[in-house]
Amino acid sequence: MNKDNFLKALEAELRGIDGDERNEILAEYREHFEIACAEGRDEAGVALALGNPKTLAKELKATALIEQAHEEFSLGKLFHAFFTAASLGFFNLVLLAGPFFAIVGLMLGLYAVALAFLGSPLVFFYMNGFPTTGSDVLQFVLALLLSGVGYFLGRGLIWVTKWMYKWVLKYLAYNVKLVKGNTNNEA
Amino acid sequence: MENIQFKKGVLELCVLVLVGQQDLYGYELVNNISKYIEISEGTIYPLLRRLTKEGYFTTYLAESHEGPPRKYYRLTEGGQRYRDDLMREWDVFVGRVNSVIFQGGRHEQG
Repeated sequence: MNKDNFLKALEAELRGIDGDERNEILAEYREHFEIACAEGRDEAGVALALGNPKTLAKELKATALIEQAHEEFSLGKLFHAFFTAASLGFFNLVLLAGPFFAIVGLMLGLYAVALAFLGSPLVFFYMNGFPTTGSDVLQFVLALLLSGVGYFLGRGLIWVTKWMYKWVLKYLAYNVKLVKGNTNNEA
Repeated sequence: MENIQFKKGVLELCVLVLVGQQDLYGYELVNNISKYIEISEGTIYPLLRRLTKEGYFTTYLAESHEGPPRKYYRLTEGGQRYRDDLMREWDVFVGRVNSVIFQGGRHEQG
């Protein structure tokens, strides 16, 4: 593998992150090659010593995506960062997958409950029509109360989600730092 | 050194210490470290980027006598504090491991 192959492989793996950031990363490795070659080392040797561009790119990408998700609230970016970090290595996957899916499952469940509560007056209309009898009115009032509970549960959940988002990002960053995957020459 | 996980943690400390001694550009740093520790040289750059993002390094470009301009890394005040913390942790860690090794050694002889 020579300089161009290495940089191309790196560039290909870094798709999905911000263009400026990608160029900065590539410039750094290009500089490394240029200085090494000026010292009389051959490109193939330098590339071999640098390691596998694919594995290097994964770590760079995970760090960059975590940073991007930190700057701008985006669940899409959070998920992208998660999957990149989880692909760093076996231990990253093990340490991330359990807590992550537990949290996502729990949050989805709670949102479903909030939504069902919120929509309960509509369900009442759908099933019983406009309330006429005394017991109908009582049920309708209960449905309205439930709807109010659902509304505040939803508001609370949005707040919790934002807080969780920050927490998950911190855990991701910690995970990338802690384990970092294998950055050997192995594929 | 064969243990990858162990090496990674130590690498961060080495990078902080070396850049703390004088501003360095990536290639120089890689060369200094690989004199002592066997690493995939490319792994230094993700580490440098992360430490820069965390505010422990600042960077600047400087022309060189030969070849392209070089991106230098400088340790910030926050970086100095972080380095000192890590060095203390390292001291404690090595001290404890040593005391285990020494006790184990005496035990075997006895």
